[in-house]
Amino acid sequence: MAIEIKPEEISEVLRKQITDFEKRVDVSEIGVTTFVGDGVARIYGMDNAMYSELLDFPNNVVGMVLNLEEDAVSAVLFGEDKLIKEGDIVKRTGKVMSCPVGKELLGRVVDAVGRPIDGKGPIEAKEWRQVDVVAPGVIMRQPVNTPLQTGIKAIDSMIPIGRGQRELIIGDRQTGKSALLIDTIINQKEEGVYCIYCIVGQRKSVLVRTIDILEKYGAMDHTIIVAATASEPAPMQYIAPYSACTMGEYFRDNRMDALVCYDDLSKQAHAYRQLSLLLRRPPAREAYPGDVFYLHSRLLERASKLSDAHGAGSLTALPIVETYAGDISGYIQTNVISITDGQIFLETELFYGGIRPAINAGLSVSRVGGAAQIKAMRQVAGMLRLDLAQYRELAAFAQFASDLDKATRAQLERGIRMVELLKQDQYIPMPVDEQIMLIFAGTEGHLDDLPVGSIKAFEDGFLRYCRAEKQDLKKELKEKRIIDEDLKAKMTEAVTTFKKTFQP
Amino acid sequence: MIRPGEAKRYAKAFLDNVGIENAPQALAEINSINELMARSKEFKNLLVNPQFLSEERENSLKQIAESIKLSDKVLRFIKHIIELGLILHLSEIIRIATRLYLERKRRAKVTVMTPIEIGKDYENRLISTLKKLTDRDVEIEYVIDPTLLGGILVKVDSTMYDTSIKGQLRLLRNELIRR
Ligand SMILES: Nc1ncnc2c1ncn2[C@@H]1O[C@H](COP(=O)(O)OP(=O)(O)OP(=O)(O)O)[C@@H](O)[C@H]1O
Ligand SMILES: [Mg+2]
Repeated sequence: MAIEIKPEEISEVLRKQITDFEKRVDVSEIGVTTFVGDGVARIYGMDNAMYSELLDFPNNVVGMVLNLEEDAVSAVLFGEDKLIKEGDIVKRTGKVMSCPVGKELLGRVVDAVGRPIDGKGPIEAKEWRQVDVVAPGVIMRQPVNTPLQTGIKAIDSMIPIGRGQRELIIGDRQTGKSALLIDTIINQKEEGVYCIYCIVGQRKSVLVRTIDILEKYGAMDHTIIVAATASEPAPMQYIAPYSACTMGEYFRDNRMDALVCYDDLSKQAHAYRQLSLLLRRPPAREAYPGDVFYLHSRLLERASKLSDAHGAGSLTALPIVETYAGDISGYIQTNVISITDGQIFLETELFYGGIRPAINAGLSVSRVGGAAQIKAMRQVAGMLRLDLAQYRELAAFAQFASDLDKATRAQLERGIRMVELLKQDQYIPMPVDEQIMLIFAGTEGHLDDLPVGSIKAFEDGFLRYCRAEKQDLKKELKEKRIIDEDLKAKMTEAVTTFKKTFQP
Repeated sequence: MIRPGEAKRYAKAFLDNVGIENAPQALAEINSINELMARSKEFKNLLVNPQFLSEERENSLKQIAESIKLSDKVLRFIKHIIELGLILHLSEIIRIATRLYLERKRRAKVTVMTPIEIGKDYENRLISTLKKLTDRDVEIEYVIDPTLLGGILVKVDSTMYDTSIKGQLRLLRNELIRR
């Protein structure tokens, strides 16, 4: 239905508004710019300005107060500093930074303050929220109790993540960190979790590629991308994660589940360091300002599972932090490790050894997600973790021993197959019932007599077989969520039947 | 960027150095340097670019000082501020010094902007109102700005009272956009 708009109606509305417009004295608090450069400005006066208040500069440039001093304030600029000169009048707005939130943003790519950058027209958001707010208190929360299925075998089985949890993804560059996030987002298509992917300080090409991939796998419909690439001014890179978090909180507060991914927080910390140094704040360790811990803690604290009384919505956070040469003892790294509920540690060596995702299972933990894991997965994963732990110990030792006893050899062989089984290609997240079936086949020893090189073929064949012939079993597993004797027998039957037809 | 409190320290030092009685003249002089910096890129470059030798800088500065009749004390202060690397913050120092001077004199500085020159009787009324508002003797700087179109704009300390047509139009625009 086309809406007909008559020009006369518009002019009538305008005329009315203009007649209603009362003449009044515009009283505002002002200051004078005394210095601009490098994306920051100093303003003389403005005695009552508040921390993180927005300022109105000429030419529609917006600034945010970050330093309060006796006679002056310093602000970072969200716009060209060339548009501002010494002597310009600056006005207080009394407002703090806010961004649009809501379902209208789904499928869109926006900048650090929520303005569309995908050329798909304006976003008609019905609600705006302040980007830097205090996290919900303990009374409003409850422990995580629902799994966030990433669709990645190694994670869902051994490092389970619960909705409302904060799990760090940490590793050197090019170890598949972003890939984990993208697969997780793709997997939420079936899970009903809204995703916000925040890209900070990366090349534009990375952003373009990410959009392409998410569109290709049909994941944009439930996703918002918030981007502040490396070419954006530092203040934008600093604020982007807070905006992304705010968009996620909207879903959480409205009884929905959301996931926010920060790719990555090291780059945000770099931007913040740059700002702080320009503002002459005293540098501390690694030249970061003293409050860089607070930069990340107040962001990640906002991830939460709300209590039933507050609607039981959740916001899960998956931040990425980069390491250099595998060193997790850097300032930012240790900070974020201590804030989050666990970490997934990715290693270059594993990555180039062909183990992808390159997760170091020994160093990765999830401190709260186990409670949220579905029972059936917990049953098979317990064995898996044991098999792998034994394998790791023996593998180191076996390099020196020439002849091994039969039991040791068997354990080694099992471990090798388990590692093989946990490998996973990109863009094919796996439903949890299929993960359970596969890991079950492995931990029950059905793969022990297969050549290592054929594990992948077995996986593909077995899953295809289950989808075609064992729909009932899959359904039962999904509904029961626990492997009882009856189900165990059926699963064993499925594996053995398939194995008879399988040609390695 | 300047450290917290630094501008005030040098503003105070400046006033003490030139003496309170000479302050208006000295402030006008130092202000002319600041304006020159804002107007001329070359001059600013001369003062801040480390590629210039301090000798070159000093010579040029001396010539300029002579031509605009800068007093010795002001010249020395400028040189000192350059050495400290704070010349880009001269504007802040001047503003603080001016405020400190006016405070000591129990005077208030007010900027009045109008599109056309205002009449004498209106001026008298304005002065008495402003005296009441600030509870101090007022020193008014008149600025003619035709782009205001009409009305008057008054700046007292860090408050701006705007009844100009330009300001009203801006408010109206914001109102219309907001709907
Ligand atoms: N499971 C996987 N299987 C095969 N290739 C993978 C897998 N995961 C990642 N890759 C490939 O490895 C490369 C690096 O991945 P990705 O960009 O996710 O790493 P990153 O750690 O985010 O890198 P950066 O430090 O540059 O952000 C990409 O080319 C990606 O396609
Ligand atoms: Mg990446």
